Amino acid sequence: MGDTRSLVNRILAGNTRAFKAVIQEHQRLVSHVVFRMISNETDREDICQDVFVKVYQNLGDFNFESKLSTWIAKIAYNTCINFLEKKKTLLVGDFSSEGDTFDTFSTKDTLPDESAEKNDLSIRLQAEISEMPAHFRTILTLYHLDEMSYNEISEIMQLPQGTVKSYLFRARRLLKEKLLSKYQKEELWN
Amino acid sequence: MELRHLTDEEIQDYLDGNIPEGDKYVQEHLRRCERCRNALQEYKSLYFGLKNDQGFDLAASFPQAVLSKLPKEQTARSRFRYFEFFLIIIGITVAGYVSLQFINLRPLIQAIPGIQILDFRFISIFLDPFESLLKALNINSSLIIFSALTLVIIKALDYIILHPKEKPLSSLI
Repeated sequence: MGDTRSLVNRILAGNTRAFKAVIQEHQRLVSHVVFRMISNETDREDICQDVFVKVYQNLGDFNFESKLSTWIAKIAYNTCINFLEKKKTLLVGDFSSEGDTFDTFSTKDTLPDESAEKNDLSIRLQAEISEMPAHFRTILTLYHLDEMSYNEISEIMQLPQGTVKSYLFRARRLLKEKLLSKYQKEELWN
Repeated sequence: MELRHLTDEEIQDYLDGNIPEGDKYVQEHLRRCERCRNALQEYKSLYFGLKNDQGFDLAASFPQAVLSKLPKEQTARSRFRYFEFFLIIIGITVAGYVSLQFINLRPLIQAIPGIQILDFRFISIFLDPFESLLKALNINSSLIIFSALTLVIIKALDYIILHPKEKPLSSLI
């Protein structure tokens, strides 16, 4: 935390080299949040840039009560939410807590040619995740790719920890069901 | 003992490490139940796929692109606005002391209409210690030394904390 405080103070004092280091350290995290939530490729990089400009402008308000990465991810998430709200994009599907199935999603049928190309679990996962609601996509990414805790995700998304856990469980179950409905086990898990 | 298959939540909790160490039910059940072992394996593979996702990469020029969008004026200095305020107060106070000692403003202050409403003893609380110090020293030299020292300290604090030597944005882009 001492290093973070020193880094933040240097940036606040106008040291742009220190801020460049912050960008380099957190750009992957920010891109995960933004790219998962924003489907339009042309908007993605602009939003990532806006996130870091906001980080720079609001760094004086960072209170060191959380990790810097959590605070930056929260700004990224809120920036995306504002963007999606302006575009009136679906954030969370109308899922009932009981018996939600993959049919709830607007899944696109995979064409045979596409299927032949998508012989890699990673590509198949990407395709299925991209069809999930933004909240689910974000939680899956923050937990598995960025290895964040329920507590950190809860802070970033401003959701109770129980809701985060519930969304995460449902997202994984739906993902597994979707994959198994389209592919043979041997195709997926080998 | 009746066989109860593990729920999805239990399997995910197990893989997330959320099952308490003392709770042997899940482990014991997995040892005996092939169906749940298969379900566990499916989730393990899913976790593996999610963890080994390639993620998304931004262009190598991304940091430079952000730096070029930053406002020219440093606006992220709000943390220091209170400190700057503190320095200004110190400066005004010192200037006040110096002025009072230099041209003896006390009679002038007392002559201001309505100043009697204020308790002048309050102002004296600040003035008295300083005056005692000056009486003990040579007044003229102590004034010059004190003023110069105060200005140097304020300038040094301002230089170290608020305006450190920095590379211009253009040198990083």
